[in-house]
Amino acid sequence: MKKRLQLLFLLVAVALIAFGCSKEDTKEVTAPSDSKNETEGTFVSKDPLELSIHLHYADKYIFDDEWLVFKEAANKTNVTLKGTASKNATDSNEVFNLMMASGDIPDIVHSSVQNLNQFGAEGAFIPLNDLIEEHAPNIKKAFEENPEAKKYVTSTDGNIYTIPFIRDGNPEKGWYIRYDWLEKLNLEVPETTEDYYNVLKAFKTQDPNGNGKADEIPYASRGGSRGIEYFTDLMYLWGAYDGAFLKDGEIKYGPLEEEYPIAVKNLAKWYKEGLIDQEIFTRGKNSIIELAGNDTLGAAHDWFGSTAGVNALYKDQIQGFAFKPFAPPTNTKGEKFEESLRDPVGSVGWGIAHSNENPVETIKYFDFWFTEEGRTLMNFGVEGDTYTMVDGKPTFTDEILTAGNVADYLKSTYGVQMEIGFKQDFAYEEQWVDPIAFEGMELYEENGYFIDKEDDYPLLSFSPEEQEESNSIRTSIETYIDENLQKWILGASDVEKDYPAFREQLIKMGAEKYLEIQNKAYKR
Amino acid sequence: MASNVEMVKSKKPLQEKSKFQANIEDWKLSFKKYKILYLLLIPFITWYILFQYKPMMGLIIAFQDYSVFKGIAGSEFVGFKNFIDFFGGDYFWRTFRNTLLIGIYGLIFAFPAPILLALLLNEVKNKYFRSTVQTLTYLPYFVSTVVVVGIVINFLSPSTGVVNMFIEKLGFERIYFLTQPEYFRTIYILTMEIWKTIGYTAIVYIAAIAGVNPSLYEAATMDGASRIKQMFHITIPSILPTIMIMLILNIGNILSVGYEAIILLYQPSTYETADVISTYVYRAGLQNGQYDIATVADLFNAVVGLILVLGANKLSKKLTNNGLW
Amino acid sequence: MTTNYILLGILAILCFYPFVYVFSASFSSGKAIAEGSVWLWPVDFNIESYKQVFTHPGIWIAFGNTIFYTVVGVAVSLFFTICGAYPLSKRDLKGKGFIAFFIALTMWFNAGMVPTYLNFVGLNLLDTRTGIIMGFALSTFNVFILRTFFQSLPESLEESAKMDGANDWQILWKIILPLTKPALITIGLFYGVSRWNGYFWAMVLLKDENKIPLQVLLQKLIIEMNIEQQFSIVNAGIYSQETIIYATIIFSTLPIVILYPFLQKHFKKGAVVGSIKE
Repeated sequence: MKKRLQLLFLLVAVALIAFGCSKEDTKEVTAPSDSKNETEGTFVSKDPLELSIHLHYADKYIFDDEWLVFKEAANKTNVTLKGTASKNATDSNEVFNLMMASGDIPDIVHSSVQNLNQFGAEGAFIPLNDLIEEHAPNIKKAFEENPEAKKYVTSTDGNIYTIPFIRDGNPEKGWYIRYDWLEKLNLEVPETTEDYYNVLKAFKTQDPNGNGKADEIPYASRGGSRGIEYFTDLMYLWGAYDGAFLKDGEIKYGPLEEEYPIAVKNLAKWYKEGLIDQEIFTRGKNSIIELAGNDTLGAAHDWFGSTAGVNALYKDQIQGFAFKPFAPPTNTKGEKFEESLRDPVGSVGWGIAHSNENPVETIKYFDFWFTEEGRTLMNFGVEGDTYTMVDGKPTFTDEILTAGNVADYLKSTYGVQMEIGFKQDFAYEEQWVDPIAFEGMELYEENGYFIDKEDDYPLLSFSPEEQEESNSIRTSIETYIDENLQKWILGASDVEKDYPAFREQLIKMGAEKYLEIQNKAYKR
Repeated sequence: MASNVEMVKSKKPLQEKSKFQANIEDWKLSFKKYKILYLLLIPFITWYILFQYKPMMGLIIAFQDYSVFKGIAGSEFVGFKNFIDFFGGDYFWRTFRNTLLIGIYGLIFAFPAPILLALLLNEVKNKYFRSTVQTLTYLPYFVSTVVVVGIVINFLSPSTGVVNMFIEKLGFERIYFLTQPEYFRTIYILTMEIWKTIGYTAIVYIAAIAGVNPSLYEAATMDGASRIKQMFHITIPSILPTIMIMLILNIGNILSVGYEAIILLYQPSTYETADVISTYVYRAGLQNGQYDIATVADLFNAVVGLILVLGANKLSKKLTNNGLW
Repeated sequence: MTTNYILLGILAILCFYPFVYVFSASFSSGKAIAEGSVWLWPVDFNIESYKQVFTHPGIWIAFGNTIFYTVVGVAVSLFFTICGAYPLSKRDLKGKGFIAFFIALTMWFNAGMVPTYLNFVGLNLLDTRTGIIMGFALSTFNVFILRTFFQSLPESLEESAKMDGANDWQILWKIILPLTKPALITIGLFYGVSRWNGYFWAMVLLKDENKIPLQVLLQKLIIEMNIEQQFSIVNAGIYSQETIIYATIIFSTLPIVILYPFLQKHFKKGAVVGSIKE
């Protein structure tokens, strides 16, 4: 009897202990700031913690408390975020500035690295260096794996105020051409600058759209942010650049280099011969559609993903329409590469306000997004709701893939792919990018056309004085350059004659000082 | 009154005292006569103090290295440094000259346009036609600038624009207008300052004309005066006060050429006539957060505007006995 | 006189065109707009853009708000403006010159966005309807215009009324205001249009989504249609950001546009004469 009782007692004791242990697995971590003990559970705070957040970027992405991704994150970390930015405002810059002016800064602020650095230096945000060291192992690892990210967010006083958005994926723009026209005119895909010229010339003179008029527009562009980036992408063909670029570890300025007048001279010639859209300056952001639709568009150098979209639009309307990517032509210096490359780091991220009473929990919350779990959550969303596992890979649901603009839909509806501090996964984009574009991207990847990240123009961080001086000089010289460039292209003046005086004037306006500032920041 | 004058003539020390006294007398009289009106002025002035003058301390940021975070109290005072930066820029004189020229051309061409429209409308006897024209001309004001510019660009296109098609029919060569600096001012003023606003601005003058005593016209007709004579001798003089006030206000705004429409219309090759102060400031990204420099530009506009208005007001008072103050 | 008719006719057509374009474009497809095929008639006729506008959450509340801000705003503005313009129109009112200068200055010197915003915060008017109504009650320009109209009334009018024993208040209400109907309508229209189109400060000062006026909501809708160039060839579907913009223009301006012809009736000539005993 006693033995059985003892056995029973033992069994019950063991059962109790086993039960107690497994229960502990789901209990919250009891030592809040003792991160060494936090191996079980992803809770970063013992008690449910609510933090306020200012997130308002690209004028339209405003933090929504209902976003599935963040709600799920709250379940996992015990931290709930409450957005403070007004949903009515459509100017992210204004909203940020007014928030800072009002003195009421929320616990977490999402903004540009530049803003966080600037105001961090003034005391609005706390330096995160030590916090990362002690409490954010995943962020630490991410910085080790992505040194350019760490460099970018380290402000000139050595402090890190931002946990940035780290991009994934290389492709930005590619070279596109009408494959059906090439076929029609019996031409090979252009391989060199000279080939390209000949092909464009053929487009113009041999009437590939078959309507008896020389209305073809061999090269067109949607325009860029600087106002004149319409055809300056073509400068690559002669090894020239329209602005600052990185070569052999040194930042140089395109318009000061000897290749520049050669490129301009050629572009003026092309424009004169009608190879470049005569109205390229005013045609606007719909140019690709407009010209594709009129069956006059021959070639372009534009964003991979979106440009491929014209194919779906016009394949029925225009017989045989095929606007596809091809390898960058080898330029006159014998180089063959695509110079547009995605920045490895986004220019935004989030930081911790000086008034935040829970900095340790906050940095741990930031750290969560760099864990495998957090990364998947932000890249793909919640399993079952936004994606399902197919062959071990997260695959978006049909609802999402048929949403029209997938990237935008994911962001606005679920909060997926918000540019907070986390590392993106290009796999998310592969699922919905236009197949023609995807083919092109693969072509470029496999052949190594994309330049290495180290050779890409770096993201630079400046002190406020440097920033001011740099901006001021840059506005001046860009005004001067753009004005002259357009005149040369239009044929209103001759680049070969004007160039020496032009170059001298640029230097007088501070072009070399500008380079000095950039190089100083680069080499820091 | 007479005794005061005598006092003024005789003893000097009493001069100031009596002038002062005379002043107080005037004030007392005025208060008595216009008691209620002064009462009405109270809420009016209060509004200005609360909503306009109270925040005006903010102008001090033009003299500071302003940070939105540090606020006015915490930002460093830098005296005239911002002004030196502003005036010393490579392109300051060019942008100032362009701003001024556009302003002046606007005054010469765009200012009279709505007046002319109101006068012409006044001559139309058919009230349906008049009403229709009035409504139609008032419409472009409500179409946003971006859209109007889009239409302008279309019209001026060398390949498909109506203007060029017309030019070609007349036997001339097509012109890529928007890239030629010599056309910029004309295009900008014709479209943004006349086409877009003529009907809306004309309303003021139409209302003023409506207030003219018809018996004046009747008398003139009986004297055999033609309609044109009536327009010049009755209508225009009667609405002259309105015209003068509008003129003075426009002169004061001569430098306020907004950047929104110009940014959409200009091209680097037209910078030499099109780049104005506000567009240059915009390109420098200075509108984003660098409020100190933006305030400097505003202050500059304000001071110049004020000086011009002071002059215009004096002139107006001399010529027409009527002014802003 | 026929030249007059011709000139005015041409001007009217030229001015009408942008509106016709916007109207037609709002019923066209995004693709057609992007291709540039629309210039007078709709292409790919559809009402999708309007559907997007009408079904946007909160649109009718916003519309109601706009009506509120406009009607109440105009009433408040007229009150304040008359309070200023009428006294200032009296030739012998002591201090009128100084006050006129005092308010004129504000047309050139204003504090700038941040100090103005902080002022609202300081007055506790952030996110309040009162703030929107009161903060923008006066336009100095309109005050001067109204003052000029008041000045054009003959003094004999007032003098005879005073002799009949009327006080200032009665004079203002019973004589002056009825006679300056065209002026009041003009100023009322200017304030009304400004309120109706008012967007920036409403956006900045109002956080509560139930208080925002139409223009703010419409602007939100337009921005929501913004898609980064790298992700979409954009503007190529049944509706696009552009067609939405056009639909919003039509939707938000149609009421004001329709109103104007009715107001024109009051610009009849000789509205002033009425009761002058000659």
